[in-house]
This record gives sequence, C-alpha cells and structure tokens, in this order.
Amino acid sequence: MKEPAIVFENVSKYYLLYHQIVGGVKGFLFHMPRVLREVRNSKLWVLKDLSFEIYRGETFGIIGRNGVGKSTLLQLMASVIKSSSGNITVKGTIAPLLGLGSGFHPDLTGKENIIVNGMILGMTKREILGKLGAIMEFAELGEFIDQPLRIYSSGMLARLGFSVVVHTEPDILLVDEILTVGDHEFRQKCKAKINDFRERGGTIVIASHDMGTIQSICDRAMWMEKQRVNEIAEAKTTVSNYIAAMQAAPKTAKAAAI
Amino acid sequence: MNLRQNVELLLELTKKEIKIRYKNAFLGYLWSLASPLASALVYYFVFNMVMRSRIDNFSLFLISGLFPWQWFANSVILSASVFISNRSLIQKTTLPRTILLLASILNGAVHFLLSVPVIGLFLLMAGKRPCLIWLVGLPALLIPQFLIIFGVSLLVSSINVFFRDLQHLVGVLMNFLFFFTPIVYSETMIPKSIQPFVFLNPMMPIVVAYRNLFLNGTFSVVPWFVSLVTGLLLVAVGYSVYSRLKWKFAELL
Repeated sequence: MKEPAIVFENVSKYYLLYHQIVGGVKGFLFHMPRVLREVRNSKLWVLKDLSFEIYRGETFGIIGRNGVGKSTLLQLMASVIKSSSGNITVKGTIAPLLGLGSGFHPDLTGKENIIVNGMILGMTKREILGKLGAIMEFAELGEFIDQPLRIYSSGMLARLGFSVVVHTEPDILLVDEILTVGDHEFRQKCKAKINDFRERGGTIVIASHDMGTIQSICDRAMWMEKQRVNEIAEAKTTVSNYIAAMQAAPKTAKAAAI
Repeated sequence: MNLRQNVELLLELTKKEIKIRYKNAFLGYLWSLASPLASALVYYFVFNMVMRSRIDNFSLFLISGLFPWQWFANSVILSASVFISNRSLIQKTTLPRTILLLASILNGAVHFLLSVPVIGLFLLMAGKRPCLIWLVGLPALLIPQFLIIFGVSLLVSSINVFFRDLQHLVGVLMNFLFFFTPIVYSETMIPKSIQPFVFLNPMMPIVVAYRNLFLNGTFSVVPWFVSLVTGLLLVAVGYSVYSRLKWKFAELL
C-alpha cells in the first residue's frame, strides 16, 4: 500500500502585488486609500486548485515552463509560505537543498560553514559534529575545507552545500534546479547518494528543466501548465508528452507564457 | 525544531558573527573599538573643545553613555536589513526568523561588553576606579536594553520587508534620537518645559542608568524596572507585528 508523504488538496495560491508599497513609505502614506485598494484587488494567481499526492519513498519530478509556480509549490511544501486556500499535509521532516552557498559565509572556512549550515537545516550540534567527517569526505574538498569560502569555485560551493543537505537525512528532500552543478564525477556521486537515500525510503521532490534528470531519476512527474496540474504520470510519459507539446507549439506557447 | 535546538543555533550564529568580526584576533578587537572611539573623539571636539561643556571629565562622561547607545543604534539599524540579507534562508527554510535578529543583537551586546574595559581605563585615568556593583548593575541593565532593542528591531525588520526605504529613515531617526538622549549633555540640563517628553524616549533612562553606574557606582531600581517594563511592552508590540507579517516575508523578499 502506498503511503502518502505529501498531500495537496485543492490548494490555491495568489500573491497580492505588494510591489506598490515595497516602493516606499512616502508613496504609501500619500496615497494610502488608493494603494490599499489596489493591493487588495491585485491578485496574482500562481497556483489554482491543485490536488495531488506524493508517496513515501517516491522521487517526484515537477516540470513546466518558467513561472508556472514550481518554486512556489516547493515553498508551500516546506511551509515557508502559506496557501491562500486548500489543505497541505506533510508527513515527516523536510529539508530544502539550498541554492549555491546560501547560508554560507564567505569569511568562514568550509568546516565552520558545514556546522552552521547543518544547524540551520535542523541538525543539533552534536549530530553535525558526529557527521562532520562523513560530510567532509563526501565533499572531497581536500585542503580547501580549512580555507575561507570566498576562494571556493561555484562548483566547490555546490559540493559543500549538497554534502551538508544529504547528510541531514530528512524524510523528504526538496530539490530546486540544483543537480546540474559540479563536475561529472561529483554528479555521479550525488546520483548514487540520492539512490541510496531512496532505497532507505526517502522521498524526493525535484523541480527542474533538465528533462534528462527527471526522466532518469524520477518515478513520477507532474507537468504544470497555467497554474494548474496538466498531467501526472510516470516520469517518462510526462516528459515525452511535455516535450511533444513544446515542440508542437513552441511559438504560441511562449507568447502565451509571456 | 525545539527550543534547545533553537538556542543552540542562536549561540552558533552569534559565535559565527563574532568570529567574522574578530577574525584577526587582537587587531580585530582594536578595529572594533576604532569606530566608537572615533565618534567619541568627534563629539569630544565639538562639545568640549568648541562648545566648552561645563561637564567635568567630559570624555569619560561621553563614552559611558555613548557606548551603550551605540549597541542600541547599530543593532536597530542593522536589523532593518537582516531579513533582506538572509533572503535565501528565509525563502527556503523554516528557520525561525527571530533567530537571525537575536544573533545580530547578541553580537552587538558582546561588542558593547568588550568596550566596557575602555570605560574602565578612562575611569582610572580620571583617578576613579570601577566598583563591585558593576558586576550586578551591568548584567541587570543589559536585560531591559536587550528587550528594548529586540522589540524595536522586530518592528523595524518586519516592516522594512514591506517598505524598503524604512532602513534609510531609521538611520535618520537614530540621528534625531541620539541628540534627544542625554549623551552629550546631562539629563539635568534639559529645560523644564521639555522634561515630560523625554520619557517618551525608551533609551533615555537606560543611558542615564549606565552613566550613573559607570561614573558614580550607583544603581537605582525604579528606573531600571520602568525600562524593563518598557522593554517587555516593546517586545510584545514588535512580536505581534512580526507574527502577523512573517508569512509574507518569503513572498516579498
């Protein structure tokens, strides 16, 4: 029996267009009634009435053009933002794969950053110290591990970031367009680690434009179009349908997207 | 994350910031004193040499109020941009956002405490000496001041996510507040007609209390208690605004 790890029930999300007031206090104070009215009426719908389940132990891909709400979806899963309506249930601990070097400080060494980052991702100090050896070994940064981060290349930063996250051992791992960094060898290693994670029953959610990755590591994939779910099927099926649709109407689709 | 983990993380983040600040050990310490001492020098020149203040030992008088003030002013100004500079963490993790603020305020507290020996040095040069009551008075004063800073920072940092120009405004307001706080003058010099209003400034009793402690070795409980209550109120107001707005942070950053 498949057990759900993440359940979305009729989830919708809109943003109010706060950029009107982010502009400045002055404009807000002088035109308060008008600005408030505009903000309240200016709903930008990002997701409309989404319902789906992601099962425990599954690797789930999310594909779709830029701006269809993939990142918003991941933010909702991580409960960083609230949905406007609908229910979201998440069973288990969840960890995001942070963007390149976020939460890292350039003046601290690799080792010091591992400790801070691991704790930000929810590990206790004792846990992270216990895993420090494994993380450093996995990152394979050699002597660089004791050097400040500002001399790291972007590939090295990605290695460090990825190494910390996979060692936090969450139940659910959220990946937003990251796996394409690092050299070939490291990528193989990441894939191995992800497979390892899946075999131990971990759930992975990946939002990506890299159809190859989605096809090769995901069990199922969801194609999003115009703020809604267009298709949920086996990864191979979804990807080939998506590619076919993109090729069939590339220009009109792009125009519509803009 | 549970409370213990949060405290652990807070200490680690504070340690991180201090480490960055004092990366080059002793030189780092000297540098961190350079900026408060430089502003002290400027005020000394203006108010003592040019305006000829009637206050004895003006330099000592000045820094005993200026150093605590700078903890307040710097922390509040920094707090305005704290969420913006930690954008990626806020957009992707559920890390309690207050931890970022608290770490920055604690860092300021350590910084302030490290500047206390300088006040001691000036005291010795003036022929006085630090009193034992510092050991009680200083920690006691840190608490209400910490609460006041935290409360104001919560307000400033949360609202700044919506109104980004608030951070510039805060700098200007801090300048105003500096001169409305008895730092370069004594509270007894304030004209009677204005007296009732100075109590609207939450930093006023704090600065006066620090100065009494450092210069005269006295500590009075009543103003301390008033500051404590002010601090708690500010935190209550700040936290309620923060909790209402925090769900929007990730959307707006």
